[in-house]
Amino acid sequence: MAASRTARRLLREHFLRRFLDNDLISPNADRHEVLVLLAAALVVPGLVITVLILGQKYVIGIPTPALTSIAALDDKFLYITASMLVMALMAAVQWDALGLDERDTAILGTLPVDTRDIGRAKLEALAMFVAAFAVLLNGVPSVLFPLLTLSHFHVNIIAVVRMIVVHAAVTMGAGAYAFVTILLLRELLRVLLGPRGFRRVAGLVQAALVVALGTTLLLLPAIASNVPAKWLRGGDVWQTVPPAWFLGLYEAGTGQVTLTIRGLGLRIPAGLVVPERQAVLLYDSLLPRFSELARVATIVLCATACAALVLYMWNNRRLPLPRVAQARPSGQARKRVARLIAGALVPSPVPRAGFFFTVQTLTRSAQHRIAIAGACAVAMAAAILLMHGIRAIGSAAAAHARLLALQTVVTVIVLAGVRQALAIPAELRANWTFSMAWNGDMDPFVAGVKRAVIAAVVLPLLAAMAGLHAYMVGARAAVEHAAVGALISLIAVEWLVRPDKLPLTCSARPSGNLKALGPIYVMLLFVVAYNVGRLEQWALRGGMVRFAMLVGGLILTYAGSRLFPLRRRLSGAGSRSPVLARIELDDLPDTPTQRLGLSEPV
Amino acid sequence: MLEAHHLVKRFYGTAVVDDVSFALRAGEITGYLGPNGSGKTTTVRMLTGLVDPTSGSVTFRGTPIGDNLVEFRRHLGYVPEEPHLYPFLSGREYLELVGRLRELPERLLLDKIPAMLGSLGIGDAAEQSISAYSKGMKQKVLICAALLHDPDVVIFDEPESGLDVGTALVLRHLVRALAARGKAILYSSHILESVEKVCEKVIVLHRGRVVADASVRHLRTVMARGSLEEVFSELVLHEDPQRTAADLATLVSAR
Repeated sequence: MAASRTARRLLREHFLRRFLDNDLISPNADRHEVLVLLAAALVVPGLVITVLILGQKYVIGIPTPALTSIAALDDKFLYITASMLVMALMAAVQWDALGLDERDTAILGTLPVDTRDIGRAKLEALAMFVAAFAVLLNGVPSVLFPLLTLSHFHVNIIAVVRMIVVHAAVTMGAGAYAFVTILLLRELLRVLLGPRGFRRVAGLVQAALVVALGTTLLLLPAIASNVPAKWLRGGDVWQTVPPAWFLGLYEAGTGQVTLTIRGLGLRIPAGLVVPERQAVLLYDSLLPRFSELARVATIVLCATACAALVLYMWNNRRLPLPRVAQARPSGQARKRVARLIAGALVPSPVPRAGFFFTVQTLTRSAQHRIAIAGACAVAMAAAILLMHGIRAIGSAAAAHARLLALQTVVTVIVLAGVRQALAIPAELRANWTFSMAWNGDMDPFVAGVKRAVIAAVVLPLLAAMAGLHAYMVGARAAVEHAAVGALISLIAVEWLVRPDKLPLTCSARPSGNLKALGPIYVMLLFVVAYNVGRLEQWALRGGMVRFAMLVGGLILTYAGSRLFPLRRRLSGAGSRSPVLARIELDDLPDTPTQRLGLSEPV
Repeated sequence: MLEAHHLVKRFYGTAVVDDVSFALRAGEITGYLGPNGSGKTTTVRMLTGLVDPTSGSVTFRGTPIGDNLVEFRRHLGYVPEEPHLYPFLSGREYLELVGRLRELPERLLLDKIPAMLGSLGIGDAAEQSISAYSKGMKQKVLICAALLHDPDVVIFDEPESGLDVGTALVLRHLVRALAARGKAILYSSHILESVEKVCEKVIVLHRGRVVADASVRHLRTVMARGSLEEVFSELVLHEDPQRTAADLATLVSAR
């Protein structure tokens, strides 16, 4: 029994380390650095939002109890939803590490440890990881937010502690619910599809979850504003939103404190008497719903956790069997199509190597998929914001410049994600393949990479947006707009896919002053995209001549951007020199002090 | 064809390879032997240009390989000790990547890759991702990748690792056939039996230094030993293997 407990403790530690040392983190990364960065990334946003943004609102702005209660609904909804989204996103990113895998079989399968102990240890490690994550994410706001909302009222310490405990329990509970929902989805897919089917769809589901959750997280400030008004307007539909259940739980838990504050008989400033009375009526009208929602939250949390637990234990009742290579039909038709496309797009061998290696890595490697899914989430959020308030008109002449700018913004954001993904090595230890077969000239390989990005990323993106534009501005204008988008994308590819190192092989070059320049780049993107949109608006309204002028201008810009590598080649940097032949494929990432700019690069 | 001149490699001041010189000649199979940690793999990495020597040089047809590493590697095939491959590619896709990087014509790849994989018995698994391959299957992919471009020099570092008996036999015949076609071959291995059967000449490395460089027959004659195993024991094993084994067995049973 004692031996089993010791084994479980050791296994728990092993699995906890695995959450940090998963495939998404470079094997050369420093675990302490990863931990510190992760903790900072979780703590700082909550601290900033609570102190800098909400601090002013409550300490300076709202001195009355009912108005505070109503105003706090938005913020509580924000905390609850943020906790849910971040926890769900974490579960999606850790997707592969959530259950036992073939590596566990290889490492632990031969040890004299009961398989049930391995499964239980994994589950305990998962619970500890989730708990630590939830505490880091919600700990600081749990203390500060109740203090801020109670800052004007003289309530006893028990009421304050109650507020803090309820805030912590509800936000962490909501986060846990979101996490177990993703876990339940994963385990359900495993049960329904079996190991092979699950492996086939897992990557796609993970990417879709990252895009959907990332987009919602970025749009959260807009979603979480004016909750009571939406609630009253939306009726029952609004109550099917999971954060609303937990908001009900929150209010049900702190209702006593709210009533106590009201009962203190505070002096209301003359100008706030009427709004305060309205707020009391509004809040009281919502009270019955709060208790109803609290019940829903409790039932749903328990039911989801139980279902996830049962399925998890069932799926992990034995260690997964290692994958065995099996004879498979060679897919002649698929290969023929791929060969035809490649023959047209990349006729020479080295660009063809770059083309296929890029497509295969971006679509099959978890790290690269997550990087691009993250960029897609940002692009989707930007697109939703840009589309806000624009209606379908079916006419190019009245097309809004914001709508026309959308294509540029989305494409450039996704391409920035692709640029980031290209800087991640596909598999550092396999780099010797390139060392041995490398011909010393990077340009042809990069040309293949660019064509892969155009074929596998840009064209599907433009095709998807063309459907939307056809609905919004009509089919003809959508085709013309897509043509302009294709040219802009070609220019963006030339500017963004311009690596100093061999893509997908060498360690990523640190992004340098991106922290300072990042906001400038973002602003620049929106300014340029909007002005290009206006230019396009002008061209679409003016007939073929103006459109031809725009296209001609873009072609000239594209030709100009192509001159850069040519200049590099003429100056000798891209030639087949023995110096470039020795591309450093085994270089280690910079030290943390260098990455953080604390020391000069050695 | 490929010559190592007084190769020295130091890591943190310690010489892992110390003044190693030898030559690989066309049509000749040279065995490279040594116990664990003797510097075999480091030498091989210096010969392939993956690691720079601290001092000394490697020349290919009289020219230092560092002068034009790309050109040298066009003539080199290398089977590394560890089968590190891209796990998300299939065997066929990996070989296509290597072939395209080596600028081989597409038509040649289309014909050669399935035929080579088929010959080594993994034609059926050619479309399966490498992550599902066994060690032996990965080794077969590595062998195909090393020979795809018909190199003049082939360096095998523990090539039989993970291979089944049948494929190991095929490999030995393949190595002889390649030598018969004029390739210079370095065969680094722990398996003395296969080195004895495959190689005409052996170099024995001990603690980073060459302790023997002669034909197998000559070594057996000079050292008055019946087999390469006995020669090897005499050269590099200073303890009695039987006694070491007995001591280890005692340790295993200790409670």
